[in-house]
Amino acid sequence: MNRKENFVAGFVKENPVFGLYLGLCSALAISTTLDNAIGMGLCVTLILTASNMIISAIRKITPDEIRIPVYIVVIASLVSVVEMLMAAFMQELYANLGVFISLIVVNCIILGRAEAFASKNGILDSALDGIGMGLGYTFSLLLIAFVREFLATASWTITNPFNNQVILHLGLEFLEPFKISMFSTSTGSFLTFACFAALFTVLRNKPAKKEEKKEAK
Amino acid sequence: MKFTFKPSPNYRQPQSTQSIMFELTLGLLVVFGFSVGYYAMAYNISYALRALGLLAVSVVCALATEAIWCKVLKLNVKDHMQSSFPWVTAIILTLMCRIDISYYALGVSTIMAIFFGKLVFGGFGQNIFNPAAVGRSIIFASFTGNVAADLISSATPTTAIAGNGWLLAIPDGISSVCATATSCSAALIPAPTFVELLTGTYAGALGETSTLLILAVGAYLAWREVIDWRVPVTYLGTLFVLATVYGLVFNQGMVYGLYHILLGGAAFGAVFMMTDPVTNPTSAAGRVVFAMGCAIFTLLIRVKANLPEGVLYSILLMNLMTPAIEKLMDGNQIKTEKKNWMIIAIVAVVGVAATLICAFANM
Repeated sequence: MNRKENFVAGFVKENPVFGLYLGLCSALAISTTLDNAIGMGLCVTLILTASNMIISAIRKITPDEIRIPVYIVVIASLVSVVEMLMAAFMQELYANLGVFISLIVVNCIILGRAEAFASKNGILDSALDGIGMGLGYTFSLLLIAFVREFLATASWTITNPFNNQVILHLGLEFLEPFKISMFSTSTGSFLTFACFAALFTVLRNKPAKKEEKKEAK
Repeated sequence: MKFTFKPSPNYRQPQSTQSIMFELTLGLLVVFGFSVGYYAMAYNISYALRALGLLAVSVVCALATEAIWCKVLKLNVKDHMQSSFPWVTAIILTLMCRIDISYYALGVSTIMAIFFGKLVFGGFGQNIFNPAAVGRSIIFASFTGNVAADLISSATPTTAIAGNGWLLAIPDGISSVCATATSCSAALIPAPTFVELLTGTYAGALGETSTLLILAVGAYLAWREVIDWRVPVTYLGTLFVLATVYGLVFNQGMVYGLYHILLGGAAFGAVFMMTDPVTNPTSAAGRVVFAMGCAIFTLLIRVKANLPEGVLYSILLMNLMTPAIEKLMDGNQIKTEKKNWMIIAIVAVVGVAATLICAFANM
């Protein structure tokens, strides 16, 4: 696999949320609004890229027996840094995401990429992999949040996390009486997630089926 | 020597799934017809038309969902409909709603009930949860405020008694019952008389009020072997006993248990929803345990949880337990008879114990 394929794999083929079912806890919990999804997604992307690079840089001096504690220390330090920065500069988003920022430490995507990719590849490859996977995660969160926010509130809002100014507000007032409040709760997030997971499975299996048909012919 | 040749019992049975579902549909329509008649007499004709409109919206949504599903999967629509019976789910769901529900809420919940409750599991016969109960719980979760106002403004007897912590009168010196209740009045609730509760001439869900008619239809269906008589009998019996135990702790008198059976969806759920052969255990003993579990959950949710009704969620919870019951009570029923009785006795003891704990905790 070349670098470009590695980078693109995170979106559909190896999409961490809908393909590998990793990092679901935070994905289901915070995908209520587009704001949360963008904030959480970029946070994870940043931490994932940085942790991938650091772990890849120290991969040759990390003893195999204690590699998991080493990874955890690296990831936890990065998460603490990001958490404190968010508490300082983006209070609103920090309050909305709550405990899920600290829980990035145990997010399976980050530890999984460290174990599966960064510990075996060079720094540049690992960084690209981190960005690709992180953007794939962000993309999945945005998809879920896009559906959920619209069904629950009949509008989409994007705010600037630094000063809480509304950048974009797209509200469809005539749909106001028809909103389905269930989609702001966990039930709605499970339903949305399941539908997307099914859709992605269909997308992934399509090329394989075509090849099967060709072989049959 | 004379040999007699006959097909195996499942082929010899005169009933087909189609004829069973047809009779069930007729039974449901009788209940619905009574409801329409009541609203036309007690209020005016526009209420009756609204009830008919709700049923039409629900049935059309259900049929459309299944038809689209067939188109996507490239199935034959007619064959699929004949073995899928979406209208039964739609009718049950409509009967569980109050007349003031909006058309939109009922339509969306029907689509979700059919799709998420039935089709994604593989269609009729494969679903884990009762699809109609799934639809009603979606209405609970999403559309409790989405009602057409000015239809029924007063609280129904069920919500009134739920507001009182499912007690007819609050005895002196007990206040913690009201902690979860929304509006507590120490006075006796102006409850409908028993005759009203039996005939169903009071405001409530469309099809859940007329207990007498529901039980009559249930008796007919049980006689026709469309439903299993054990389930409603065990359910209502267990609910009555547990409610009486609960009532005795609070000094509510012996008739208190009857209110639990007559109010809310107890009779309707017992006859039309718990007997759903798909989401039920297959063995007779398993069904008895299923019905007892439903009764225990109904009572606990009614007296402890912050919900007006417990029947719906008790059915969903026991649907969840059905595979476990099946596994536990599977096998040669004659050989495992002793074990089955033991399990039933254990469930009964657990139910009474849970009720007593609940009652003393509510004191």
